[in-house]
Amino acid sequence: MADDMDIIVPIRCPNCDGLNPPDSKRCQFCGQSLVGAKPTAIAPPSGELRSPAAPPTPPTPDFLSRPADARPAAGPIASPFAAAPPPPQQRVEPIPQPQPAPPASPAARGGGALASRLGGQAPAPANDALGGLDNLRSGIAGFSAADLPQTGELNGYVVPPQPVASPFRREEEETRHRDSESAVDWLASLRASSSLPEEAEQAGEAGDSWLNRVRGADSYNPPPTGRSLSQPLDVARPTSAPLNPPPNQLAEVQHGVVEQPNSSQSLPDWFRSLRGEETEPPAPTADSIPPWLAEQPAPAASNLPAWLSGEDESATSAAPAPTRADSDLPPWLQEEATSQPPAAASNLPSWLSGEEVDTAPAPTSNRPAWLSGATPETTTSSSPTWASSPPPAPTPPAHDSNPGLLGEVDAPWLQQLAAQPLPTPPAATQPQRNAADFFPASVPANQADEMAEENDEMPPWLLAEEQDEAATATSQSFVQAEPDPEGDTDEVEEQAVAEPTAGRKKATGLINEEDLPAWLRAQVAEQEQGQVRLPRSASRANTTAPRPEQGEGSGYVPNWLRNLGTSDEDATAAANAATAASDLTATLAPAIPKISRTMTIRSPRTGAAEAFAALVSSPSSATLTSSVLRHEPRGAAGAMRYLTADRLIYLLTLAVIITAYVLGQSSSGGPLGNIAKPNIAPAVSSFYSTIENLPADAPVLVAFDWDADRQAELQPLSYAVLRHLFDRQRRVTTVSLLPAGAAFAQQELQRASKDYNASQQNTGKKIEYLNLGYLPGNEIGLRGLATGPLANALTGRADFQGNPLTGSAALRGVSRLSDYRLIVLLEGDEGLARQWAEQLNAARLQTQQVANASGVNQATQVVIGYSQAAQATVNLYLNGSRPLFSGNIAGLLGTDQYALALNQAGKALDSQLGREQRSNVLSFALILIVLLIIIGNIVLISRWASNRR
Amino acid sequence: MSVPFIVAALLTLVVYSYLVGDNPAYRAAQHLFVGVSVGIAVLVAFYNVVWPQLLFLYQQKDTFTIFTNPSLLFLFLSLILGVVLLFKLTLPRNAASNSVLGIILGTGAAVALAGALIGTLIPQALATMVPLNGNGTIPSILGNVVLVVGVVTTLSYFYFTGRKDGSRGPVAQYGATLGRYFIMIAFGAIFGLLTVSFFAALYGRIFFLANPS
Repeated sequence: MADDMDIIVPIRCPNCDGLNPPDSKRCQFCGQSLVGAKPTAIAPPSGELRSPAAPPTPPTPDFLSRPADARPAAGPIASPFAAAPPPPQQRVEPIPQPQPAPPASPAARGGGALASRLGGQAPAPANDALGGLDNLRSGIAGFSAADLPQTGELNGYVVPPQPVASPFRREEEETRHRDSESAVDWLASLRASSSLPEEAEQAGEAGDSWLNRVRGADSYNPPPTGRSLSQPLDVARPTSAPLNPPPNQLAEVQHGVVEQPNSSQSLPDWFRSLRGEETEPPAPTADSIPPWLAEQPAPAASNLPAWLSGEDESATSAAPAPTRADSDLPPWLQEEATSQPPAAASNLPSWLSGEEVDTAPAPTSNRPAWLSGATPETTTSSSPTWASSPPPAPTPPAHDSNPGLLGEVDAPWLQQLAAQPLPTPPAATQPQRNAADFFPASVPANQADEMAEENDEMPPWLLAEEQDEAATATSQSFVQAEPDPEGDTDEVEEQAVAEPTAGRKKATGLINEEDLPAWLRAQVAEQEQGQVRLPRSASRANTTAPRPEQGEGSGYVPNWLRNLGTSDEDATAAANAATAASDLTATLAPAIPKISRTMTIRSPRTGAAEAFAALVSSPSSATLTSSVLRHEPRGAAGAMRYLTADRLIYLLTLAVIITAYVLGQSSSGGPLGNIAKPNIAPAVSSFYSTIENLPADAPVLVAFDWDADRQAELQPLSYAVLRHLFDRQRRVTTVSLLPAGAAFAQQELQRASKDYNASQQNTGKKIEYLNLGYLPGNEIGLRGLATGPLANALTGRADFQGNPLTGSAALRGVSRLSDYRLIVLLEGDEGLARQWAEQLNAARLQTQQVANASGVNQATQVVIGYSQAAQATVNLYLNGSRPLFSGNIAGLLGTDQYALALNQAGKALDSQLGREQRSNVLSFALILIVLLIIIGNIVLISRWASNRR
Repeated sequence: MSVPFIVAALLTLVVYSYLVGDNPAYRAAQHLFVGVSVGIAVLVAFYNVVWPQLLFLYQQKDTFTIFTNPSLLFLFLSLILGVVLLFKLTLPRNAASNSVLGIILGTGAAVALAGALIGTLIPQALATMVPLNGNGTIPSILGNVVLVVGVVTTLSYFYFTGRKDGSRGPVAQYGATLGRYFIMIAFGAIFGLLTVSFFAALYGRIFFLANPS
């Protein structure tokens, strides 16, 4: 069989040393690429676990030898004995799965098989998460099979959740009983040999080969950190490390299968004591075993309970009742011992004997029901795992009273096992902790002290469970309720609701509220009110609380376990979380079943709000409160809040402009001087020369296409152009594509003509101008103006002042747009400038193509003055092989150059234009902007460099 | 100081109060500006365009020249279409008014498209097709090279078509990166021009406030 095990050739991850399925391309634990990694053979179980003189190995049951991976993907829920086990697996090969499935570790295989048999459900196709799940199943000590999460529940994406029948269900008992009739031969042989100790001993030795492997698998102790639970275990590793107590499934197998482990080192102390290897069983400590249980005399084989010995219940009822050492019992328990005779059903506690609860009267004292011998039916699954492993024996035969194989095997060592005290819960073996250490930080000190005082009244073993229960309850308080994918727990809940108890009692798991003593009742009430809670982050990381709709004994899925294997990327993180949580799970295992299913489960948002409220109300939140809820400072500090970076730039710019304006009041520029000495640009010079070169009395069309937003830029330019035209005695016609532009045109015409007339008083020259006003239609109006007769475009029109156009001196000899010798565009918006340029270009092209066409002929020149905002668009039409514009003036800077050109021509307009003051102010403002841009880039680059470092 | 100057000065300061923060006074000035602009546009359009033409048509009522003079005919038809367009106020889905609106939009689109094609696209394309050697001088050569490279790479930035595997050719791939820098340079230049224009407006306001009339 060892050779058979060698054929599993998983791939060992070179990074994390984890084992992956043979077909894996990426490590399921760390995401490392496995391309090129060599497969690694899994060594068989060490030979030391196998008896060298073992007789021929009996056929290994299928559910033990078959790995978790090799189990059928899904199947009907079957009783453990429903089908005869197939012949021993000769080759253990993983079944090809849609998703890469790692070869489960022996622990995972054994645990998965056992869990499968106990749960009565064939597990889903194994994957990494399943391997971890099975491993976790086998690793969580003290859990019953029903406590363990089912495969479909854990891996919802792998297997659709299917109703899982609890092995302790009564309806399955009958099926199991029927199936037991068709049990496999080896089981029959075991039953037959149960009456012969010698044969049983031999059978136990013979079964070492396969059972040792199971034991070795189940005794796998996951590494504390850095290794996932789902990571397969190299079974060749020496098992010198201390072993965890075997899980519940293994315990059941040990109860039911004739097997004697050879290696005593590989077994925990309690298990060795059960086997009787030691001459004197170790005296259980007060922390580990209840005193009353420790004081029980070692019963003889005849004193075995019915469910262990297979005798009738009547026979077991006649067994002598053990006497209790009242001195070791707490007072309230001593009272119970004195007031009520011990249960005659067996030497086990009544709650362990599985008495039915339907007929049990409601407890009237503070004694828990399970102490009074009346165990509610609903508490069957909520009893401690280590105690609930042997389920209640309803009716003979005895083998039906035990789940799985328990009732099928009867062996002397098993009787000896039954005579020993039950294994202590793992929580009891935990190092004793102080009550103050247990309470979370959020619990006030006085409350913690009160709870600690209450705990002092409790027996040690109950104190440990109580602490774990409280820890689990607090961690549960922030767990969001999740829908139950299975309906198997509904029945348990319904039974709990229908439980005939006096009044309205809140079922708190094993112990009802009224059953609790006063000190414990207050504790439970405190838990239900959620007064003791952990921080949300801690509760999320450590929560193992069951879902509220599930019974205590049924399987539950913690959030961290539910997230296992959700994706390849999360596999490593989930495995680490599972590893970290396994310790806590083992610690909380005995207390988890006792947690009330009715515990309040609040939504995360509610929990966050409460956590925030607790944080704010805590004394340490003074700083937070002061920073969040403080009032804004008044006065200068409040005003400084408004001094943001952009506002500082605004203020700085205003200060510079006002300072430059005030200091540059004089014609010489004041103390600053004339820092701006503009040179006349060629474009401006061309603009100027175009107007200068026009023949006398030439009609000129001026377009005023600017609004109030561009008044500061284009009003000086408009005035300068009009004065220049008037000085050269040009006939000026204005038009505008904007309603406000027509008004501005009228304003500038009046101003320029007034100034011109004032300057030409003695010459007697008169100027002629016409304001056509607003030309609607944008492109359509321009098209009509550019391509058709003006009479059509201006039919019925009047000038801006309402005077008829007929008889106007400005329009003399002008019937078309081509009759104008010059078109001056004063554009404040880039859109209007583009419209003019496009339509004028189209008119020029049409003129060239049509011989007798109208429009803008080659003799009509076009110049443009525009704001700096429109310069980017206008520049498109300034260049090219045949530029449209023969000259251009851009903004105030161009206006200053144009004014300088006029000055040079003896037409000084500086006083009207304010050129010198404006030049200085704009120069300083631009210098300031350049400095700000440079400083901003330096800061940006420095931040970028610091971020890169 | 005249009343118009005082009003204009106050409104100027109110508008600049937005630099400190949004406030009701600024919003009031903003609404006032919009209202005055619309009012001026309506008045100018009516008294400068509509009313003179209505008077002209009314003056021609006895001569019956409306149907003989094409200009008058078009003016009369324009008047009729304008009246039909007013039906949009009461009958938004009126077919007649929709037809008038369609004529306006269609004509405007056609004219704009023709103007853009003839006046902008073709001249710009022709202006880009320049010899790289220019007039023989180094600045001319460099300028033409930058012009061609800038146009090609900027257009490749807006070339989003790729192969089936998502890759693009080297020109489209690396040219897009270079074209992005050209676009950024152009945006920076536009931002600088806008800044100068706005500084001119600021100076105009300061000049206005410093020289009361």
